[in-house]
Amino acid sequence: MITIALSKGRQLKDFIAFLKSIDMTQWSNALESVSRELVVQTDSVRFLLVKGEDVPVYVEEGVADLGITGSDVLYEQNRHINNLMDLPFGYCHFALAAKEPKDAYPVVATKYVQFTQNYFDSIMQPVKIIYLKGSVELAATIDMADAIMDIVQTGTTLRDNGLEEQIRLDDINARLISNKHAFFSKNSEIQSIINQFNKVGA
Amino acid sequence: MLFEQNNQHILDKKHQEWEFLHHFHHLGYDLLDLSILEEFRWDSLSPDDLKSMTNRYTWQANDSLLSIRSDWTDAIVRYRKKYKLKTDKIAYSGPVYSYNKERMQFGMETFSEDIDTQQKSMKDLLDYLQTHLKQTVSVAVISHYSLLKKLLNKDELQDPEVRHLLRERNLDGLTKYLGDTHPVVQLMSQPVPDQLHFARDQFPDLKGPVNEIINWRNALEEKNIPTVYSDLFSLPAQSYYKGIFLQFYTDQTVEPIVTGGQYSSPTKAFGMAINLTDLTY
Repeated sequence: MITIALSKGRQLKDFIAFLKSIDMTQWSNALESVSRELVVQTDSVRFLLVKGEDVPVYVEEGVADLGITGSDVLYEQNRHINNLMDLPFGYCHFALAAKEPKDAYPVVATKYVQFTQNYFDSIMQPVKIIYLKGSVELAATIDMADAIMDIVQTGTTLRDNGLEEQIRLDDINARLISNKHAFFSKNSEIQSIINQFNKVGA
Repeated sequence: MLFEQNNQHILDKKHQEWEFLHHFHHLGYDLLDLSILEEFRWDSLSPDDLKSMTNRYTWQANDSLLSIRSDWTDAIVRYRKKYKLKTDKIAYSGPVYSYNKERMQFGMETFSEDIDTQQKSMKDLLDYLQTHLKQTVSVAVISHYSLLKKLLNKDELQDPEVRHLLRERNLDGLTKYLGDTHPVVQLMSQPVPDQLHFARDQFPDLKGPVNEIINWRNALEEKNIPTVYSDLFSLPAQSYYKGIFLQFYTDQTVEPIVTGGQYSSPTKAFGMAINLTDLTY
């Protein structure tokens, strides 16, 4: 029995669509029947439905053998996990957004402190980072920050708040991760799942 | 505070430490105790010393850098560089501190390059862990630190991005970064059960380390550990680690309960330590 930690919300819908595209209907049917349950089980797999940022925690602790979460989440957390493969959904990108273009953005609000610090270090510009947990756009809208660093999919939320993408940065997508020990102790089951996930586009 | 329980807990902990030292002394190990306070001189800090400073408590006093011991093997390696230890094997116990963590280490070092002698020491420690501390090892991981030194060039070995991708076994990341013909990518692309033999067959330089891994794996399988695996992509924490590196885990633990391996500083040696926290001690 393999246990897989999944992000709730939009990524779960994308994962179900992905499962259908590769004919893994037993899994997709089980996940589609979810209403408010946090644990879903079939004959061969148990899914834990958790917050995206907690997926690497469940995997690192060995409660889940595998996990699916965004590369943005992994970027911010230094976890002892195996980062096994790209999955073809959850596409978006990091972007620096502001009301208008500027020569420099000395104050930046973000949920992604690590990524933001690394970016400004790479361009050799000092930056003050204001950490926020959500509604980050507001910080630039009311001039608490010169810009925000956030993940962008369509850009609609930015535009609705009077912001524009100024600098497009790293691409993001869903990743399959594994617990360090489970990767070896359940290797044949994990490899079989990887092979099935690799069927996409084949 | 419930003193009645606390008194007994403290007595049990001290007794365990005494019992460990007594047990290993009885097995022929000499006992060693070193100061928990370590002194470094600014003008003779080694690259390993510098690297270790990022995860230990340090402060400056006059022209010295002072630090609290963060790992017993590091302390013993430094001691052996400075002084002669006229013994074949030692045992020790004492606390170590890295940032935000306090651990008690019970350990041993064998100053011999003979593999049978080293494996006998490993079994001494494993037996003690199971019979006296009642800890059941469920996973043993074997790595060999010279594998990656042979597969990567010096720049690649130092590259933080390569090290990060290796730590996460991120095959598609490594493929993008190093190219699909790179030996590390070729080896990691093989099914896990085939990797050891692929390494031995395709890279003649790796034959020696692979045979050593197989030898140690056989020794561990004799101890009935349920999962024994070889991780070919581990990176050495310190430059003095030269050969086999072992990590033992109990059920559901992220941090290993036992770590250790072969090192060379200045002569070949083997050491292992049991890492005890409040949960296990």
